[in-house]
Amino acid sequence: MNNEKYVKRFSKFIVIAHWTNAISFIMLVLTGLPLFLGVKVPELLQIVHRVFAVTFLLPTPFMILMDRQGFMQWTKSAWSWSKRDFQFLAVFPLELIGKAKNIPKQDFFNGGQKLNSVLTILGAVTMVATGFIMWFKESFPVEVVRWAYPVHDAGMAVMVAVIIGHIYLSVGHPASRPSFIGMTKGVVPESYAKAHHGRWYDELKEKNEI
Amino acid sequence: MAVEIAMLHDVEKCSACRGCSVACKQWKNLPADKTPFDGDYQSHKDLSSKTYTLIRMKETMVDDKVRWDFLKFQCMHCGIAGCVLGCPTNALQKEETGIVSHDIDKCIGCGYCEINCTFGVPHVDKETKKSTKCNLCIDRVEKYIENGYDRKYMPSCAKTCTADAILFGTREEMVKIANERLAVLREKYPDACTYNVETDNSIKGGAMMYVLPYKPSVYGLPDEPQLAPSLSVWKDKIQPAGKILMGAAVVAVAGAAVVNTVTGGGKHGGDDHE
Ligand code: HEM
Ligand code: SF4
Ligand code: SF4
Repeated sequence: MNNEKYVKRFSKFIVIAHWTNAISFIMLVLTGLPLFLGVKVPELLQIVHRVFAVTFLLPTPFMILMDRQGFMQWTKSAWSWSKRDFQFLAVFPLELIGKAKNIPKQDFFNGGQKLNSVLTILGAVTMVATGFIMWFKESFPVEVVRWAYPVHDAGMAVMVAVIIGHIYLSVGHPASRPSFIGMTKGVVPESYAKAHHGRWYDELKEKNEI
Repeated sequence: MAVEIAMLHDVEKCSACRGCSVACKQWKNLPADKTPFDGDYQSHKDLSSKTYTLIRMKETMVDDKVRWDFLKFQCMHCGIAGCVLGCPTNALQKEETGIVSHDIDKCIGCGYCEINCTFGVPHVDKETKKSTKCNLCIDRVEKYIENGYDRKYMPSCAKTCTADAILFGTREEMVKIANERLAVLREKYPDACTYNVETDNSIKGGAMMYVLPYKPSVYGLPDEPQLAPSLSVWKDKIQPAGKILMGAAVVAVAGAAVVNTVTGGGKHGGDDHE
């Protein structure tokens, strides 16, 4: 695979947004988890949590401003589900250990990536909404503030579970690992595109883009 | 030291002299809260990080006459306390004596106690970033018990009260007095009741008890005090389930990683896909 050809997948703005979001998320978990687990940590972490809450938010307007098309492609795709996405998810546990066969051709985003996107979008909205209620608790009825905590915690648990899978697939898993440079250089190997995103690959072929 | 203590405010005897608030400030070395004069008799609207106890004063018009109702408001030292359940660092503790104590070194000022208290008692101090509330003069109470219930060591407010409206002693004794006073009050006040004496609610009563001539709501207390329902969902369901979910994700990924390493699996390129 020395002469591997690469195809363009993400704009540099999407890449910047992804990593800003990723670092913010990790910092939010690291600064929030001690409270969740009941570990006493310096008070400063509560302020750090709020700082990263803001940097966690910024990538969304940034993407909309800088690469509206890329942003729309992602969000639209996350909500358009068809049979092949569910078929993908059905065999995904086997795919995880490299035993899946006959996976139907996938879109630009496969069923797993769509599920990741949906959970991430819903999770982020939940975390931001409850987080702001907790931050500005004086402005909300106490009952609302009280319920924000269990919801914020549930959101965190789901997002952390998702991110653990997401990280493994992008840096650990032998088959999907090649996708990683999509989020660094914005390109993926042509062979990867063909194998994992057949419908996208065919589209590119049709349009004579590769 | 397993003896349980309690304080009893006999509301009918209270003359609202506010000696207890002053005694509290002195013993606890608390500065006066600067409160604007707003024509109200009640000197402090609410507890604060500098005011751990106050006399609530409420005016009610009865047959064209003003009736004043007083209540010594402070931490109730609940049997099961929302603040204790909410505190992530166990800075708040329900002691064997019945006191809900506060360990300033463990406190991180997160304010979870503020929002989960049934009565809105604790306040995080803006400067020190530590939660504050009445601890029933826990240091004095220890001496009180050690010295054979020596009145000298009663909580500062109880010791000061000249009207015998604030009583202090073992819980057993206080419950007895409360019920005796209730029987007396009942003759004059049909709504008379005790408060925090009974333990048949979700906060299981408290070490700060009252005998009230009227319904609790007259004094701004909830008639049916209860723990915030979100607390058990949060602490007993969401948090344990969250830990299991995150743990399961780690296990699944670690398992897959091991299988893929051992079998060399998961490594398919374009060929084995159609
Ligand atoms: C998606 C990323 C986020 C994660 C994983 C996260 C995680 C957490 C966790 C685990 C806690 C501790 C809860 C507990 O004590 O059980 C917490 C607390 C808190 N979070 Fe977040 N959070 C996130 C985003 C946000 C955002 C966007 C905001 C604000 C807009 C926010 C504001 C807060 C506040 C105010 C607290 C209360 C603790 C404190 O005062 O520091 N969080 N978060
Ligand atoms: S009244 Fe509030 S602060 Fe006092 S013990 Fe009960 S829950 Fe805690
Ligand atoms: S402010 Fe202090 S006492 Fe209150 S819940 Fe947080 S750590 Fe516990």
